Amino acid sequence: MNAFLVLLRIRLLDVLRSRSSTGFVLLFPVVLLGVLGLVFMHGHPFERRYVAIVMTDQTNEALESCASKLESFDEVRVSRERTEAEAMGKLRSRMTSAVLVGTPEGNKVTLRIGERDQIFGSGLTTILPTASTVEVVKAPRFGYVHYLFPGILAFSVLTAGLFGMGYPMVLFRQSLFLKKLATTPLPKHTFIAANVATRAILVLIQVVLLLLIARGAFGMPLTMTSFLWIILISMLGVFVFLGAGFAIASQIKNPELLVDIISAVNFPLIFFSEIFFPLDGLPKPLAAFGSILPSTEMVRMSRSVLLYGVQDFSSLAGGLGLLGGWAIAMFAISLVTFKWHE
Amino acid sequence: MAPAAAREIIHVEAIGKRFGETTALEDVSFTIEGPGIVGVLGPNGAGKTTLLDILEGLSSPTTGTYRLFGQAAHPYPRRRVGVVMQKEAHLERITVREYAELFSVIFGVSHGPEKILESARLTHRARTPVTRLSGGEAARLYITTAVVHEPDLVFLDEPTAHLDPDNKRIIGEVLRDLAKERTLFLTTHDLYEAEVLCDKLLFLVGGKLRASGTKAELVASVPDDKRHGIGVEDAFFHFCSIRIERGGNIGERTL
Repeated sequence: MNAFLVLLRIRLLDVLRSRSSTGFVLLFPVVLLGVLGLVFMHGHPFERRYVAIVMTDQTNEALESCASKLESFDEVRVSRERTEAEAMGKLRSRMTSAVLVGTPEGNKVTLRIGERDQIFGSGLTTILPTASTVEVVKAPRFGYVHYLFPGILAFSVLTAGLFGMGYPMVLFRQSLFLKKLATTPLPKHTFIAANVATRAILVLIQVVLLLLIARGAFGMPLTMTSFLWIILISMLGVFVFLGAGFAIASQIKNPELLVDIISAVNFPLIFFSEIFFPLDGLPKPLAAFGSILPSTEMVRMSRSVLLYGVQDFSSLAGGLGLLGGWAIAMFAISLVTFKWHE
Repeated sequence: MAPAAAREIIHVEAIGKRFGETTALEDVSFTIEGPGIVGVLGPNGAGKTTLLDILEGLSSPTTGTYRLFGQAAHPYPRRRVGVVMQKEAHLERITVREYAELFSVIFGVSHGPEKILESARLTHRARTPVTRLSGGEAARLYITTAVVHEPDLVFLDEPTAHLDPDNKRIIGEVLRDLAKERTLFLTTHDLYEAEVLCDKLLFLVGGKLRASGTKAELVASVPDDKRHGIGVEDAFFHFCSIRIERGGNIGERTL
């Protein structure tokens, strides 16, 4: 047997003897295909058309009847928006194809559509149960990059959090740096806080850089207020994922297994967080799963702030609270499970 | 070892440690009085590192108790103890000065970095990454850092392993100097080092304490027919049940 064959055999056995490596190399792509196949076997996530209905506090019977009628069509998804500005933001970013607005009289509706959706708009007017007028909105449109950008932000934050915290911790444990620190009076919380602050600063720089490039190169709308909101959302997000990375690293001692596990955690976070497509195109259980993920909340809030012009605290408070709750839970788990030395 | 409560540094009473089905330490008892250098010797797997981990407060014994400085070790008196590990902390890009600064700040020692750099004779290497130091330089840095807070007790896990003879001698001098005012508790496989450095010895085999006492007491207790005139080495092979063939060749282990 020549050296090539011996090396081939040794390397193959080395991989196959590691359950984690075997699982990740052989089973993970199969699982990926299975999940995506089940989710998308009957269509693709962008085939449905969205109609945003502006529902203010006052009840508008005309709008309600339009909503009921539209919801009876499987190929149309209806979203209810609190403000017209938010709905128009979705129209500009192509998150919706049409916006329905009520009139003060309450017996008519106005259908606002983008220039490229005039045929769809004409079709809608024929099925709406209420008298409607069509207005073609001539506003600058956003591309898919604008839709993707909040997802890219969330992706960079979650990757920096999970890998940026998890991997060094396992290396610190392996190099006995943690054991060395355990022989000193350094409090556990000081060590965790210093590592979190380090990563948070790096992510802050990364987010600012991404925002500046998105603004400069792709015309992403950005005001000082939206800039500050994005920083706050990203920082809360990074605390969540740093906490998660730390919690995983507290349990996993092997760097290779850690990389596999973080990659496996990364996968559903990336696919089911509205980074690439909206969740309501997915089967209900998956959509429900996606909607509780902190990364989904990050993407939704960032999209609202950047694309739909949402800037008031009351609209974002729920999402910020959810992220804060996740962050607290993750760090509580980290503090309980973290050990300097086994 | 005469009872002298004021000078008692370590008192271990019937300590045992199990990892699942494996017994790493069993019914180990001894008392150490300071100052001086205590060497723990034994073959691989004897339980030296397990004992060190327990006494460093990193692991709890399964059975038995221990005291440090005449008091229960809970809470552990971190500020009175220094630790030099066999494989020290390696952050790839940390410089000598940053390393010294980190541990000085943790122990709350002002001017710690200057003190460490000067004592370790590494002032000119302050900006060098720790990983680029030679073995001797690194050993000096780790030892001086471990004592920056003037501990009464220092644990060292094979402090001169992998050093050349020159550096072994230099580190030996550093350790002897430190031991004038404090107790050093070190593990070693180097019988020559134990011979020239240690005042007291513990022989561990298979998790059990085979013998302990001053170097002179232990060497004197080796039967004449097992003595080859090589001091600690005679004691090691006697207490660790390793046979030496007449003529100097080390024979089969009969543990």
